[in-house]
Amino acid sequence: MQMASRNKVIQRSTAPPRASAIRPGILLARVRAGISWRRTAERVIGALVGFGLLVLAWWIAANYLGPERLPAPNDVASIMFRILSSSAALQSQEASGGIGPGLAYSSEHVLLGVALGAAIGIFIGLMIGLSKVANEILSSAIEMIRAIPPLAAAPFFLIWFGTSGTGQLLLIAFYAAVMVVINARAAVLHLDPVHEAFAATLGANWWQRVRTVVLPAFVPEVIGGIRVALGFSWGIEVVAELLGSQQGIGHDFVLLSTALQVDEIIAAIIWISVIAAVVDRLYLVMTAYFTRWVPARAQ
Amino acid sequence: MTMSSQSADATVAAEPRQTESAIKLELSHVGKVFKTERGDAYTALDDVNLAVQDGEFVCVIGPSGSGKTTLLSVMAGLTPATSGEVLVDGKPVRGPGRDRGVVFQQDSIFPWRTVLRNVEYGLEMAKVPKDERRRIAREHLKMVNLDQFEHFYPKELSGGMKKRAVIATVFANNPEVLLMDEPFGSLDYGTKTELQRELLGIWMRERKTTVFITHDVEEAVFLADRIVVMKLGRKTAEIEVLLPRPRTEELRLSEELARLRHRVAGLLAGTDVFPVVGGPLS
Amino acid sequence: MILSTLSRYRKLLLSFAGIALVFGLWEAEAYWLAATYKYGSDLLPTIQHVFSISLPQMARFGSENAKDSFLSGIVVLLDHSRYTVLRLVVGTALGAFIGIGLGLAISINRPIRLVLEPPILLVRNIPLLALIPLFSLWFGAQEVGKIAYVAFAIAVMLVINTVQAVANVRAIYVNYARTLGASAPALYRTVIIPSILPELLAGLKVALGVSWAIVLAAEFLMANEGLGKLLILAQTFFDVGRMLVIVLVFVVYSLILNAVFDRITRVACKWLPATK
Repeated sequence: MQMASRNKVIQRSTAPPRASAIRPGILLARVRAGISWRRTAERVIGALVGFGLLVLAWWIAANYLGPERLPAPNDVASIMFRILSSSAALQSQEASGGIGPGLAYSSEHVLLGVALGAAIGIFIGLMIGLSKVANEILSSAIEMIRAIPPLAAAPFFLIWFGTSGTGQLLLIAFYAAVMVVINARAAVLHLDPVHEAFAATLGANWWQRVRTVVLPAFVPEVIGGIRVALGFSWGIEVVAELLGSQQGIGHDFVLLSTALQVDEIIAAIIWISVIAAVVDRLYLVMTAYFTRWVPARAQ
Repeated sequence: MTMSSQSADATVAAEPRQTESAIKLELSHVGKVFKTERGDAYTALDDVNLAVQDGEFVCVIGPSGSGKTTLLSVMAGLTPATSGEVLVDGKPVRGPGRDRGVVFQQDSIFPWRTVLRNVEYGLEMAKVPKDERRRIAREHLKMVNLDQFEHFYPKELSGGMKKRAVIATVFANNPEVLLMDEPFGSLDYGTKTELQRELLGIWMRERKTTVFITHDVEEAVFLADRIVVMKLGRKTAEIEVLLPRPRTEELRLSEELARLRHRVAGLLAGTDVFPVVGGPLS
Repeated sequence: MILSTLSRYRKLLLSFAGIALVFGLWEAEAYWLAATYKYGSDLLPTIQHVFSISLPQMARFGSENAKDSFLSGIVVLLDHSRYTVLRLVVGTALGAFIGIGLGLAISINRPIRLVLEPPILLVRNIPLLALIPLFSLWFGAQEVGKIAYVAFAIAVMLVINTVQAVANVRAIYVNYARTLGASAPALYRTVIIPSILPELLAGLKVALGVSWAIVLAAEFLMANEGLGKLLILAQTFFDVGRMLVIVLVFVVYSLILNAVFDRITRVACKWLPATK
């Protein structure tokens, strides 16, 4: 099969490449990373329309159900700031008069509780991270505890530590500790052993490896765990207080409920949500530094 | 169509087949410009013209970033061209469709369907009755030697097997034009050459108009009737491949093919000829 | 030889060691408390106490003059479990239906998603448990109220989960399907829904876990029967023993439900390749 086939070159271009078609790789990266003002505007407008629809739906429902069942948005809006300091239902009971002090009390408990729980959780998490044996022994214990919803523990804590505040604080700390330990364990499990091996081949001893490879991998997961605990703790605090507390927003809810003040209840719920959201954002900002190296979609 | 012209004209450069058959796929002044919202413009394709004959196998070759994947995307209708148009049988392309089958570079096989159900997919979309489509699907699975695996899930298949399943799927759907984007790029040499053989085996039955993108020079020369070289969004050269069909493994190792490889490599590198040690240049 | 068998079952042994540790600590703590404090045994009863005394005492929740016995204790537990499990299952199913449906509807095109996603994210930010006073005011102790509450909580969690799952569908599957001739509805049916199933089920599992807490909270404050209500009643009697019985029952239920859910997930997603 000796074909002296003359494979003809049909066409050849001699024009120089265009200036704008430079280094494709870099430009493609810029295409992907570029901030699009148009898209941001689309998102903002979309959000505004969405919120508008929500308020509209609320208003329609309020009209349909009547002010005793569901107050209208404008009614609730008008009392938002007033009830911080004065509420008819609360004034009859105590000197403070508004939900402000209650909100402060509850927020204090949530923040302190999560801080305490996180500290305990990190300690236990480290033990799990550093010792394979500890990990295996504690794993099943953790799985058992994990199966218990935090609220099931609420009555226990209230009996053991009373309803005066310690019980709620420790309940939140307990839940936060559990979340942190679970996340710490997950972090250790998902750590690719190749990093430690690499460090070892570069001459790191055990302690150095722990300090420079294991711990930094820990940190983002633990931060995430604390964030989740923070989010749920507001609800736990409210329920714990509803079960029997002399102070706090939960206690305020009880009084407001007996007085059938739906508008104030809704306002109070909105306040809690706002505080929770603000704390969450602040937390993200504060911890952004520690999670700066985490690639996107690293679950 | 092709056999006679090849055996008769061993030493004379044969006239291209243009007079014998119609143009199946045509790109006319196709351009594609990507815009970042910051206002930068990136030209992926610049005034590309291409006419593919019915039944012709064209390979598009070029370095990374030369726009070949964008070209295929535009041909498939997955991305609109910013200028110019793509015509299939004279009709402009408006979006993806069953007339232009695509074999992608990544694994596109549906993991949640068995192999058989995957190959049936196009037929299912065309509302072909169940018995009929089973039959056609099994036929095509046999062509790619996967008939033993029809009830397996993709997770149980190797990379090469998944590719064969996708090829069977696309062929079973009987598109007018076949577009392939570096389908064998992620495979090892042995699997790759085996799949090239299999592809040509199926292709020879129906002689589908095919555009095949690759960066592998040997692959391009082995598969194609014609090779188009692209660089930086423009077509810089075209070369006809008059090697006889069927393409055999002997042919792959022949001097003829090696010489052609050198020429194409040269065109890729931008020099007119790639220096060959110890052999005349044809 | 013993050592080699031991090492094979090492993992199992260590797990048991962990569980034994928990129970061991429990016993130790109970004994210590009883020895140290006057009412120590009330703070944390021993395991024997829980099974031999508290369990029969559950009968007291049944009717006024019921005698303590294992049988009547278990009957009371099962009776109230009925309520709890029903609320959980019905509420979760309803919430899943609404949540996933809404999530799919929102994902249809970009404008709808841009408009409807933000208010839902806003609602998601409200601490779920803080809504109890509201639901309590609206529904009192009616069954509908608790189920509506659970359904609402689950729906909110799953809408976002679904929207994200749809957004995560790999473009290549969509493109591939389109080049094979799939129309938009067929695309949804044959590509989008099967491919989001694993992520959806994962989200559902998390939601299920949360719904236990939600049902419990609802039963604390809005119910007249159910395991949560029993828990609170026991608390008013300061009877930790009976509280522990209820919690143990609860744990058993949630473990069983989890196992069932895992089984369903494995079957539904048998095509999923093993990851990690």
